Amino acid sequence: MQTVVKINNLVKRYGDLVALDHFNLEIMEGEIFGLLGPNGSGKSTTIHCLLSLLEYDKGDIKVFGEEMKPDSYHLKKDIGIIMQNVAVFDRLTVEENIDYFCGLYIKDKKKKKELVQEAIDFVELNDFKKFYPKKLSGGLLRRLNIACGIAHKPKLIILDEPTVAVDPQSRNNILEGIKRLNKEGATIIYTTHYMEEVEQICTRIAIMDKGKSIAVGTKEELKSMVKTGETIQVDVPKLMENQLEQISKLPHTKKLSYENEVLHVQYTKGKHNLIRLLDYFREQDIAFGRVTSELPTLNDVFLEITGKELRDQ
Amino acid sequence: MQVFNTYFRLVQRKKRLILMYIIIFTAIAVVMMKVSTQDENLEKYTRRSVKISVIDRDKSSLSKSLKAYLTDQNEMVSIPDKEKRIKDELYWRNVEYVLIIPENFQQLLEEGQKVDVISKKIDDAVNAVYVDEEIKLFMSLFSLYQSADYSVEDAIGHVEKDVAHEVLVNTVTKEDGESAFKVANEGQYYFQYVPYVLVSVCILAISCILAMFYQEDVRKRCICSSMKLKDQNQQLVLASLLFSFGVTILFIIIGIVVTKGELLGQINLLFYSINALAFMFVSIALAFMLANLFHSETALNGCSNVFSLGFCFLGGIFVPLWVMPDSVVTFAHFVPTYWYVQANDAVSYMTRVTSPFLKEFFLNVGVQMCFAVALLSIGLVVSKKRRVFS
Repeated sequence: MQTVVKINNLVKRYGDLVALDHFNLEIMEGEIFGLLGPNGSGKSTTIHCLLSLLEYDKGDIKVFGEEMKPDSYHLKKDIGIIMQNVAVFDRLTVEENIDYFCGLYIKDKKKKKELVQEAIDFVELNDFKKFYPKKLSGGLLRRLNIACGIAHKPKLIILDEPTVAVDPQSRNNILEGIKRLNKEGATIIYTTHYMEEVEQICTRIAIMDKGKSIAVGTKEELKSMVKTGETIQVDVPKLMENQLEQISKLPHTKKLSYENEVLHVQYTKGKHNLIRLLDYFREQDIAFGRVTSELPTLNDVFLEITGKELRDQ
Repeated sequence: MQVFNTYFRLVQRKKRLILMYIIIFTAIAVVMMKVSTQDENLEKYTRRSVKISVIDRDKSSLSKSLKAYLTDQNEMVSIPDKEKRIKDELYWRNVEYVLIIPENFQQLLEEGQKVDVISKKIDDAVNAVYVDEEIKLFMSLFSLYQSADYSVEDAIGHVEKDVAHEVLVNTVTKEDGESAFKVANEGQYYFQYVPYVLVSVCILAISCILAMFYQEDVRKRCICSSMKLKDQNQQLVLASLLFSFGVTILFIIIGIVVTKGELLGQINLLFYSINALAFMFVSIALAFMLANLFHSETALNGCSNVFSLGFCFLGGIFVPLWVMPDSVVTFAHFVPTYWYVQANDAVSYMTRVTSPFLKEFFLNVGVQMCFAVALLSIGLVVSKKRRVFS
């Protein structure tokens, strides 16, 4: 597989603030690569540097094996960009907007017309072709935004937080669309701070914090990097202090809390944790209700590596 | 030419507003042109008579002669020589002008010393200008005869004889009875209003359209495309120039139509057009600067009114500068429309192309171009600052 993007020791400073600190990244052809990190971790700065929208202080960026510069127009023709904010003309219709942005890449009128129609079909905006953006709902606007970025059939598509402030239905629609684009052969770079989205679509993930890549791999690889195991949740009407203490002493127990008649027990990696807990309840004759078990999330990975939550940063 | 075509597609979306401005402008310009060049205004001449009071503290033959001359020309009102009373009479508009001839007026003049009469007038007395001119004329003639070694009495006698001549005022007319200056004046009044509509239309169209291209995220998307940024900018510049050139030419054609083709045969049309084209560059530069400063259409619509009306009021388009206070006239020099009006006036007074006329005209046009360069530079600086995304 060919390397599509290679970033080496990238440093970007804003005065005293280090936005990117010797950041490295390698993205292979055909991947859906997720850049996951809290707000301010450097995701958008990485994308801006990658697209030559920002000058950087040190390092080098290669796209399709060639150095990326502001005037690398032969490389830009194979890149599609979808920003967080909807970037379209209010006074142009859906079709005219897609035509305009496609026309910045494609000169042949006939080919452009075909590509515009394909993009409209792809985002299912056929019924809204003659609509002005102001007449579209939030979800439809996002689809238009995507259509404008992909109409010229780029080999590399960069999506910078495209689902911020989008309703769940439209979000699923967008994520499904990204998977389809990938199936059609495009390499995708997807930045977000929503770990669920990354888990849902990305083949490989880089977790970013303070301008650094703190972990890279598939979601399984990332989860295996940490000691955190499953979290078991049990509805228990009554538990005594001494019983809680005994549960906390069971093997592999990492953290425990009991609130509103619900017991949460987080384990480090190990086998038979659930059986051991239920055995204890039976021995102590403790009545219990619903039992659920959750595998570690990327948030747990982030928490263990950085000591802070991925959410609410 | 993707950017160029899209620019004009966006112009089309604004065509109703642009047309509305063009129609309103044409209506205003034609009405003002007709009102300002009506025949009775040009061909009838009546002398003004001002309510004046002369306080003669000198009682010399010169002062008496001056008083007699002013009495003959104006409506004389007698008031006592008391400061408070003079102020009251002026305040209540019982007199418009009070002339005080100081003591030893004639004697000091005979000795060759400089001595001025004292004039008091109501603040907004436009008619006072006539009295000033009459006094100036009388005293100039007296000085002339005095400098030619005439005795005071002889000089006064000659001055009295000179000022007694009735000046016959006739307006020059063509065979068909129409004023010979009328066409030129119609052209002046029509072209005087061109900056108003040029500024309005350029901000409403060019600024609003450029602002759409300059939206941060749209701009990012365009920079990331495979079309060279230089090509995109060139297409935007070309489209803006073509649009504003088209609008200016349209106004020149309307000008020819509303003057019933009379302007066509005159050299004035060429200079009116050059002046309008120079102001076109000012309007484009202003539109470019504003597009970089404001990205909201509402803000730009506001700017359109502020700049078009502001320029027109301050520059002497809507209100002649001679009725404005000196401070406003001084400030007007910093407004491009002032220089446009100066050039326009010069063209209207021009009967044949002379070197002083060309010098004056191109100086005014040159200053307008300097304004265009300054506005463009500000726009470029703002644009560069905005390009640094953070």
